Amino acid sequence: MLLTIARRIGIFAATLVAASIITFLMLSILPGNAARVALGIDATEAQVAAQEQLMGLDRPLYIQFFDWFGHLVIGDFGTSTVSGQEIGPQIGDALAITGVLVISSVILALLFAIPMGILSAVRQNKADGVIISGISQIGISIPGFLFGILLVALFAVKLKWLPAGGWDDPGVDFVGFLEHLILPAIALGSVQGAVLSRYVRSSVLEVMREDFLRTARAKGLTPNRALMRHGLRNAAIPVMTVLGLQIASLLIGAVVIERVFAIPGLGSLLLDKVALRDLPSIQGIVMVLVALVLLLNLLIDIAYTIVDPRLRSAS
Amino acid sequence: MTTTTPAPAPAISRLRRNATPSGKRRNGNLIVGLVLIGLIVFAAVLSAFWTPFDPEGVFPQELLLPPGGEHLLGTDNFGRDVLSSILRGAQISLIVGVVAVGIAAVLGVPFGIVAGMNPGRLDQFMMRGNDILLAFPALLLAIIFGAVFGANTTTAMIALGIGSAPSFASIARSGTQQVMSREYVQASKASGKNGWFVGVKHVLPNISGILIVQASVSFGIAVLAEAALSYLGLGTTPPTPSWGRMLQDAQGYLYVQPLLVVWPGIAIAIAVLGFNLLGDGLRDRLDPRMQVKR
Amino acid sequence: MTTTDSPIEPTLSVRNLTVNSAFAELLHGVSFDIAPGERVGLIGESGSGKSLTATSVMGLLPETLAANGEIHLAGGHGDLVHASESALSQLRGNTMAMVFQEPMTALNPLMRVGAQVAEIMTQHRTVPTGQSAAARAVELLAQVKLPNPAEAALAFPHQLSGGQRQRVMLAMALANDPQLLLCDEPTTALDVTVQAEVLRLIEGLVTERGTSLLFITHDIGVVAEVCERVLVMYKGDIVEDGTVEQVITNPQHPYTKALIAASNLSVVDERGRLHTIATSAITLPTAAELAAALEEPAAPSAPIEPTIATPASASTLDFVIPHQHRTDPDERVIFNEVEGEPLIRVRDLTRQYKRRGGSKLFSKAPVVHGLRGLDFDVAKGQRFGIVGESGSGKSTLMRLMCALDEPTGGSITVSGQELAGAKERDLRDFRSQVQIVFQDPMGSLDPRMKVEQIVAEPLRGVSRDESRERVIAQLESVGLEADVMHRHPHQFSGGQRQRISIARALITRPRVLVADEAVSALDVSVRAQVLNLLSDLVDEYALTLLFVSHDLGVIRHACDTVAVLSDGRIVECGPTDDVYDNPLHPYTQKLVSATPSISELAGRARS
Repeated sequence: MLLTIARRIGIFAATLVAASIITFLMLSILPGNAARVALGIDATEAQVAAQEQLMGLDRPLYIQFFDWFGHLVIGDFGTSTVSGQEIGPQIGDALAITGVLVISSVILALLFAIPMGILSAVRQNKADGVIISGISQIGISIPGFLFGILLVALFAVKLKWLPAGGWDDPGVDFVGFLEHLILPAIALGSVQGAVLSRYVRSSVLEVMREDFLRTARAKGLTPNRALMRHGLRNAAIPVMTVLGLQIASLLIGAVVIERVFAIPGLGSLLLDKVALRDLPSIQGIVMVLVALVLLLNLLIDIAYTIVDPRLRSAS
Repeated sequence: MTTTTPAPAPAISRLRRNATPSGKRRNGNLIVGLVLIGLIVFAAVLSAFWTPFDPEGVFPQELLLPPGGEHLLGTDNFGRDVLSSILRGAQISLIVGVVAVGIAAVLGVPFGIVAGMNPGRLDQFMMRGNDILLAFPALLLAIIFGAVFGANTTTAMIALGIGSAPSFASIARSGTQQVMSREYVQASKASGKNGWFVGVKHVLPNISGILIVQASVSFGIAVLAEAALSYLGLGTTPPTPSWGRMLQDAQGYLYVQPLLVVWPGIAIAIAVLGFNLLGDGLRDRLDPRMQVKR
Repeated sequence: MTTTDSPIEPTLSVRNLTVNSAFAELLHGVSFDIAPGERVGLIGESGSGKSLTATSVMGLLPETLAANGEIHLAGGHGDLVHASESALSQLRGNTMAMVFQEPMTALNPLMRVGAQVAEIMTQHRTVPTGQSAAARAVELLAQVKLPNPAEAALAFPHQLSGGQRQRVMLAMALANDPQLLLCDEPTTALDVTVQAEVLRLIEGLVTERGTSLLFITHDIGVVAEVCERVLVMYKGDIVEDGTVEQVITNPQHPYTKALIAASNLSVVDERGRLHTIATSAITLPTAAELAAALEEPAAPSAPIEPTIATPASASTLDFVIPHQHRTDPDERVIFNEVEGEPLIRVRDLTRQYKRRGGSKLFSKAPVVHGLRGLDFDVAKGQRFGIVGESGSGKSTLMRLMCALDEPTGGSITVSGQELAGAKERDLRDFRSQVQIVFQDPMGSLDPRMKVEQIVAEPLRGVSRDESRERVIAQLESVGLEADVMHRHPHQFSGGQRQRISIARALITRPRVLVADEAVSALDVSVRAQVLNLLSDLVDEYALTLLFVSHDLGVIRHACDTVAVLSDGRIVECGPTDDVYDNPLHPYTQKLVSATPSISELAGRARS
């Protein structure tokens, strides 16, 4: 099993390097170059050339890449070409906020998706199962940011129970922190939960057709007990695959939600930097997001290996 | 990383003992989906010839009117008729959907079929590449493209198309692998047919069903992504009406006219729901043995 | 349908059982008893309702089906058809237990098998503690003769072979000493030698415990091995009930007669053809209609004096097939060597596979031997059978012979064309000369194509009109009407699909026909029809037949020569009858003796 995990970590590292090359290339092959962007439209050709030299943009692309990547590996994201600030600490602060938001949404999503998905599968031909299934269908169709705006309209504007946006540091004002967290976490988590519950449902339905579940019933287990003891762990495996694929959309969903609620997380930072065309910062943030997607997928793959004995031996 | 992991259980294809006697299930999904999509298409086509008011002008004397009267859904902060904007906004949603799905399918499907037909090193190599692209969600790609090439509808469509291609590739690949394991492909090879023939005559027709389902689902995702991008100011540029940008504008006037967020919201939800239901309905109608997990 | 009136309460009593789906009645009032300790077989072809009967007894029918009638178990548990779910749960696994067909999927893949066996005891509290359940589970695994039962208890299902898993299922079913054991095709998915062991085990354990057995199978040979009494099902009715010997030697119902004739591949009529059930495969008549039809004097079940003959051995081969076997595993033996230029010549053929991923991160991938040095010839016009169990390498050999795969060593020549290392463009002629008929009637035809396209696929450089003409002629040659060419494969039955496959294979007028388990997925009666057709066509087109199968009976009927493949090597090869009657190699002996056969019993009837 350790070997399988080691192999997966190796693949993860290789994928990460490849992704960093893509990120670098995408943001390096610019129509208007970074030096001009940094200087503004009024700069003369000579000034631009000097700035290019200063920023190292006159070197061959691969040397620029290794320079950037080398620093990235030791956690140095470089400095912003617009503000001249260190990029790393900015990303770190924003990441902490996004992390809290994403983790609380995932928990909310799972708390919603697992029971609802199972219920709608077990009672697929009953009214309540159909209703749950219908709610999740509609849930998928409402984008998170739209749901967020509607939540703001109801709970902040109309009822004035919760703030419409912003963020509080949990160390400074914990109650304020929770108040600011609730709506964005619900907005992000409920939509993901709806998506996930559909997969839980189809996975449970699939497992209910399995021969070993019939075996369990032939052993004298009642249908519900058979599903609990033999079905759910088996149903979890395909759901985990989907969870891996969902993580990317969850992170990118967070980017948009942060904008809705004016939360100073990674998403807001990225969009601000995009507006400023601050390329080194954008590169850094994109790299962090992509690395997170890959890392979370790696963790899910490892969890997979632990749950499923068939994957433990050979790959 | 996830896609190349073979989903171990339950098996993708097997004879279903408990399957319903025929494929005839209630196909409410399909019908409702088609009706909703029909609504959006109708709005898009209608608005090309006629809208109640000009959705792109500015009418300073009619700002933020409530629904009712001459303006059925009210007016926005520029005095534009909301209904007209919503009707016209359907155009952008559909165009983005068609182009993005088209790009994704054209890139992803041949890639997936080639990988699926060549098990071993080539497949491994191609799928690792696919996994790397999967780490860039379509929306993130669109944001990056917006930063690099400037944010507009064209950039958004291309970025969403490229970003959705990996999932087409994965689905095409796993479908191809199933078809390749069938004996009719062996028979075809044994009678001397080359890979090109097998790919076009056997593989493509047999995976077309799952590809259509995927196209429907991707269409919904593209509509949603376009709305999100426009909301962020990285999509459709003014003055062209877009549901996402209407939301962005409306959010600023939440305290004044909260209903303004509701109308474009409903429009987005109808479009996405329509394509999701269509996808589900089509999946139900497919041969269950060709179902592929997403 | 009548049962012996005994004073003892029967273990299982089924009265007038009907099962309905939303569309049709599937069981039409089935009644039978099983006495304590009695072993009863329930046979029938697919769709006859035999599995439905068993699932009704267990109360495990799918929700879409409804049962009516009465089912009683000894001991006054009430009527099971109308019992509550909780009452049934008490009985399942305790008073009655069931073993299913698919050993690969019937066990929970994520749970150790010992725990799965123990669960049935903790569930019914037949043992005091979880610990004693675990200990008893190991004991049970020993009773079903799993090697290293203590270790096996800790294994996950995927670490066991199919036969071992079926033993685990059996241990589980017998854990609480049920009164009644139901087995639904428990050995159908297993190799013959494994099947023989499992059957012996079932019989032994059931006899030892005095458990009543209801054994469902499509294979009358299997019933003869295990059961005392047999019930024959046809289209939702039990049409015959009697002791195994009675039913096989003196069948009463016309369907049973036809079934037994079709099952017995060693009995042919004076034209060397198998007996078939003369019914259309699309619309089966009801039992009554069938009876009427078959009682008519012109019907094929009208008394034909069966003559024992293997038709193929009477073929016109101009050389004497040698009977050879391998005495030393590493010795090089050239089997069936033909002087001069044989149609097919195989020399030192090897195929190795690299398994992906070694046991160590950077170690070399282990090599799996598919084939380890095959030497044989096939003469023109020979009917060459290749028999072997799963993993013997027979599928690998088939793929190599059809140039669907490249050998890693050695050579194959077909009419002088070397296949090893050949480029696809050099194989053009070969491709039209060697054609295949596959096993799976579902998978061997592209569901998106029309029959015309399917049959015409191997043709090249032929005009549209000519292509159509040839398709029509070919369809007629396999007994199908010309107008089927506008239909899609899903509109045909299994036997008809196999006919379409055969038409496709013959349209290029090949010299060699490779049949890969071509009748293994078919019901007995259809199997006989397809075998007759194949045999006729081989004569008509002067084909050389290469028949790959796990089924010795089929090979014996269809081939004049047989090569026995084991572990990637030919261990024995010779004239079919000779090999079967006097097997020389120990493996062949084991294989032949493991094959369930009714010919002995049936033969007794005729003498």
